[in-house]
Amino acid sequence: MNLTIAILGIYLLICLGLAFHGWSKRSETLEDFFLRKRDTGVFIAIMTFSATLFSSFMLVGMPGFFYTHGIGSLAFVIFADILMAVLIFYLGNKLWTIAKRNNILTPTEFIEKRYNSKFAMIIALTISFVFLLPYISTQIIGVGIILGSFIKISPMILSLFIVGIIFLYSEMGGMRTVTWTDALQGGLLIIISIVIMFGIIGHFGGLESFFGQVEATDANLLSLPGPTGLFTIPMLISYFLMIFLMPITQPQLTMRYLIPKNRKVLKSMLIATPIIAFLAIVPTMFIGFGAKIIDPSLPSGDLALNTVLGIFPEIIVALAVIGVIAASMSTADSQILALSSLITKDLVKSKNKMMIARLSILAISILAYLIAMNPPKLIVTLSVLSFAGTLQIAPAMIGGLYWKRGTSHGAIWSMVLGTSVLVMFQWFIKSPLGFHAAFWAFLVSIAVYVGVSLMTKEDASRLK
Amino acid sequence: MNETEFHNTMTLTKQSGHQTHLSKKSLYWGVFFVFLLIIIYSPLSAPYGELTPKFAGIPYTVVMWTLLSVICIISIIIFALHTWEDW
Repeated sequence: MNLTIAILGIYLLICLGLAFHGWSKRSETLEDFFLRKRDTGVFIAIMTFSATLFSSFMLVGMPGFFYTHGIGSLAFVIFADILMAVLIFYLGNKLWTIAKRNNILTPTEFIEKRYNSKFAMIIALTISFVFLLPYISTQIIGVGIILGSFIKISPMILSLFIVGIIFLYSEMGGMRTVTWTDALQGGLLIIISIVIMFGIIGHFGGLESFFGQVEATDANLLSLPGPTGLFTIPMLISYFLMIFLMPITQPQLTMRYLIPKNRKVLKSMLIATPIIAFLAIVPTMFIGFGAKIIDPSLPSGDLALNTVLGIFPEIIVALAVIGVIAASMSTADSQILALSSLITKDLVKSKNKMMIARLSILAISILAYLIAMNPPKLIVTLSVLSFAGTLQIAPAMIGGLYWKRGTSHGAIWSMVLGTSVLVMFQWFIKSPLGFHAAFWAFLVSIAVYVGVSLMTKEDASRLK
Repeated sequence: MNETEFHNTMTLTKQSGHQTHLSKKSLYWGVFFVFLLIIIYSPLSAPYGELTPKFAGIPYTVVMWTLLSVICIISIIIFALHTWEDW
């Protein structure tokens, strides 16, 4: 435990050091604070995109999925995370160009200018807030659960401490500091995941022996639809859609399309991010299955990582704890900064925008913590709902980029009705044919966007 | 849709004289990636509702999905290099 606290202390000191370095380089403009002047180079751009994508969901939620639902969890996330790289070419490249030319800082600002509609922007912003705040809270819960099991302090106090650190470095250096800490946190997460994977394979006597023991524990883990019957093909397709389109539906990722200094950086992201996704996701399978072999009756799949860490020496345990904290922090800080940018740039009118930016970071941090105080049983549930909700912004974003005929009415109605269908199938009526509610909501959202756009007059786009 | 309409629909934006548009090459790649997805989520890679057979002691689904992940990564690298001038 002492070693864990010592390594945690070093890690947090490095984060604070980066925060002070970022503070010394600040230039008190919104473009610098939220997009680091769009001057990000190859390494930082790749690492910040990957670290933002891989939250505590990766080391806590994903092993829990393997533990509970079996091998379908691999297809649930790996193909979406790898193939989302192609969106950098099809969507990111164009968005980067338009954003740079029109001085756009946020995805909702793009919607406002593209459709010349403040109302469309407010709808997109509302959806982002409603579905992202619980996601931020899941990061906070993730930190609390893991840290609390190693350091005998209340998880909520530990979470509050971490939120405080995130708040401090986001406040001090904005996107510049956040991307630097992302690079550190992303690197830590991947290295630790790989070390744990090889440790587990070695511990159980090689791959063949490992999978033999998984089969002996519960053979259904190795086939579809898995022990709980979750991973049917319709459900896998639904999850693919939700995750695949995240870079265009979740503002913290969309903003990573806007920060590269040139197209070469975007191209490098296209090549590197799928490799990193593969390296980060495969180890989670070994963590989840390894935990199942060790203890098949855990009260929650979220405890899978804690369980397998029992076979490792203290130094690895300490690094794994830091890995989870890093994963949570790297996503939460980006989300808090993204939501703050939406408030500052798109919602509040003020002469002192920098003050609004800093105050909104404080307000979002407090709000996310308050939501986290009443945590759900399975972290993934909230995260998945977040993907499902923001998915309804996708037709307005993609149509706005590619379809000249798309109108503000089409965008507004697609977001409103898409979200309504999601709520209806999520809570009131069973989603048909085994698909996730988000799948039907997305189809409705596309149909409404196209149909209403064709029935209404084109807007005068404010994009140059 | 004639060629001009197609071009108008797919034309993106101009920046510093740099015209970016979705070339036929990149559209073919899009079709290829959809094809890959169909294979990924078909019974070919994941026999549904059966106990998974083994391949060298490792479950067939694990082997196939890992292999397909690697194929996806290699395809994306080739795609990036092939479309390098289209950005």
